[in-house]
Amino acid sequence: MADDLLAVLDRNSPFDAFAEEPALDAHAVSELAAIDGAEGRLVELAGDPAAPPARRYAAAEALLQGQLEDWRSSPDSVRAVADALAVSLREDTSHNRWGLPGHFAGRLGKQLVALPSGVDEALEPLLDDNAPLVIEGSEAATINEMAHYRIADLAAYLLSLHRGSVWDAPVKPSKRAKFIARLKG
Amino acid sequence: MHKQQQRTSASPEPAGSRRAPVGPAPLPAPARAVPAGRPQASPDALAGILARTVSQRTLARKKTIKNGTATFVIDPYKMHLPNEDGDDTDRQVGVDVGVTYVPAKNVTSDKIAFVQTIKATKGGAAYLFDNMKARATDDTSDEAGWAVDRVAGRKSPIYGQDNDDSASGTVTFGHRKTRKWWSDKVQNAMMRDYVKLNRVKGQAVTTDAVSWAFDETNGTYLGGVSWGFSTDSTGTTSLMAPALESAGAPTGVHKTALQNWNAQADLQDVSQRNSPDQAKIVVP
Repeated sequence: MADDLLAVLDRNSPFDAFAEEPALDAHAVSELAAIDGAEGRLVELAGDPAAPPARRYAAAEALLQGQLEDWRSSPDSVRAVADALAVSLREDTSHNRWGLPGHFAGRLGKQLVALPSGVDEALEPLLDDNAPLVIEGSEAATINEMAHYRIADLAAYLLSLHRGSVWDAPVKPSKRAKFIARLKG
Repeated sequence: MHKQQQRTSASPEPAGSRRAPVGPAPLPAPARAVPAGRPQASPDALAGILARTVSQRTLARKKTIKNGTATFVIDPYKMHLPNEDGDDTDRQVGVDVGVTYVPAKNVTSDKIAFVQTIKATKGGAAYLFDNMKARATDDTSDEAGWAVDRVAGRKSPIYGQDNDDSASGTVTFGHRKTRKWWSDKVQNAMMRDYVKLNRVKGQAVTTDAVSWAFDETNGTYLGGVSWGFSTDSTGTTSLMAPALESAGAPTGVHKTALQNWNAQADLQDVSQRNSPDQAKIVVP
């Protein structure tokens, strides 16, 4: 039945989804939930570094939507989802669904920082990623354009939210580096 | 439907005379000596750089719109790079716009700012971010999909205003503190907007916006200018000719967008608000 599962996951690329809409709709998640052993297989895919990022992203999205919940009681499974989300954040083509540093956490950013474990380990590797954020919109895109936010800034912002610490990073990117360095374990 | 807006082709060249799109053109190199051994740009490459520079300068030409003795200045007004006409690929499209409001001589105000209404579409459908869904106009309005333009988490409806009421880096608040013409106590209100939207191959993408000058001291609107862009399914982008949308207060769907902002501020579920302490806006 693994092929059925992959067929649902691969139906649409989560990277092409509208900025803040789930990569899988409720119908697709129901299809997955009806497959024997789907939850374990989704967790396995989410945590598999060799799996395509789009498939890991879709697997994590499916697990986050509420129809499959057993994984939340296993720290290893939670860590797998956190890892998949961090990889998805890094690879994504629209970061609105993750957040804008200092302004808001998006739908997936909120879900990531709310995970009970694995968040620090998943986000810390992104603190050195200087790729620019891709923010869509009007004012949000303007703020991003002016502040030159990077993956590292967003990871640091989400890490701050997760840890309950204050985000008072400097506006200048060069000065933000020092602030971000303090967040590293 | 919202009234049809005149759009102007982004390319100053006649169809057919344009070079085949080859992706983002290189930026002009800074004027400095080329070190020995480094290959120099070919004449064709230099011609391409020159053509693009002229093109961008043409697009960036400022537009002045009179509103009585007040003036709106649209400058800059240009597309983002890379943005080749007919580049039908997955890419970001958008517009870089600056709006300045020069106050009328009969205005006395300690604070003049902008409230902006906006609508974006992808593939013909309204494109709304989570924080805007609860306040966007719907099919019962003149046109669905319009909303007050504020980034999530900000309580004020004034574009670019931070939660401590200061101006963020995207705006300068204006004022006019005397009616005497020789007074120097005048600051023009300014805002900057870099609209960006992801587009997939074959997808039409549009943005229409109206920047409304707002006298916060007296709670009155001082007129609004419309602007925007559209990228069609072939990847060709056109900028809307900026125009005076209204000499005074927002009407029609724009007024509804203001009313919807206030309705969002009243939502019991604070997670559906733009900010938990979302402030209301003056509705004319």
